[in-house]
Amino acid sequence: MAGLDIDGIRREWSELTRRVERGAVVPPEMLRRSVRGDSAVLRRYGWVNLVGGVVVIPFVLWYVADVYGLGVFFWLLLAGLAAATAFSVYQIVVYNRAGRMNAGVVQYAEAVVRYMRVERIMTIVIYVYMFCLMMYMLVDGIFGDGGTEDVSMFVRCLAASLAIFAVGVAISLRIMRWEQGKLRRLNEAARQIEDFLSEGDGTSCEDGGACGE
Amino acid sequence: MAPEQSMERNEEEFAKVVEQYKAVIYKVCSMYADGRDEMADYCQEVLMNMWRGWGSFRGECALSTWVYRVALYTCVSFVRRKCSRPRSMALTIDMPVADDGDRAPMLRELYRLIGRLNRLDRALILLWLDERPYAEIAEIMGISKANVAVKIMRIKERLKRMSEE
Repeated sequence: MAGLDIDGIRREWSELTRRVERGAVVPPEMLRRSVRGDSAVLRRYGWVNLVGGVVVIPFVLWYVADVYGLGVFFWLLLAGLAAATAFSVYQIVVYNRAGRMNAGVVQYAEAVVRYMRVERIMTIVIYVYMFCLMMYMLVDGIFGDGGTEDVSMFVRCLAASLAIFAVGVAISLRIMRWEQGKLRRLNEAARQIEDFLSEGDGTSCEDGGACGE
Repeated sequence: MAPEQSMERNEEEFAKVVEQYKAVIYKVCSMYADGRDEMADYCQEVLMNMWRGWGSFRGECALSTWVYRVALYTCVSFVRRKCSRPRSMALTIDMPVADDGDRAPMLRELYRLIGRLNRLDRALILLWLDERPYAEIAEIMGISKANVAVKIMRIKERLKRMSEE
């Protein structure tokens, strides 16, 4: 094509619009059935995380308090679980906000990118935190007050802890691999948003010349 | 009014909105979709998001602005929840212009060129082609009116350059 005929394209676009408007009707029954089922699934997703946490966390805390007492370990665990709960609430907010659409498209795209970054960081932080907590518990249990100070026992417990931890990491790596495609798109998306927002900065309609509607 | 009746009415209103704006949904999806299957996927996702947001739509902006926002957000959105889609859902907007071969030559060329733009630029050029006022485009995209004007001018120049390559 020698050059792009913008006006011609706009005319063809209007014609396309007219043709689509005259096109087939979306069957209302089918639409209702489909959207009803799917919206329920999406809305439930975030809430299951939160409700599950609310049900399980008191039990875990009760168990830890009962076995280890209200020591440092209990409070560290409580802090970790509180952070995880806060993250679940944030997840629900992101899901619900995505459907409300009271801000611009760019802001939502940014929110999604931000959410994915937070999700990634949270996953790493939770693993590191849980590992440190486990090690703390182990060292304190064996070398702390009332501990056996048995080095061979320590080594065995350490090996068992590392094995459990490795299984957890392996499972999450499998999930992460599945997420890689999504993460690659995320990086690309973040770059696109930054380019998009920086492109027009500091240039007004007057500076830019012919930019009439 | 009983909750069930209210829900029913809500769904009827939603179906009317979809019918009224099916051209917008089609055009936005066609900007991003690559082929018929992907087009159906995009349409499904847009309708799902519209339904999710429909209950909380309070008329803070024009209905058309809201529809554009949802449709564009869905297509621009980078995290698509493929796993949450019901397997049996076969919802498509079966438009008579869905095939590439049916498109006018200039339009076909436009789609080819637009396919080389990034997702946000595609959104802008679509809104411009739909003859939306700059103020509305700014509202939909969440950027300033002056920024819209500059970006559209640059995208048009880029499209022209690409067509001459």
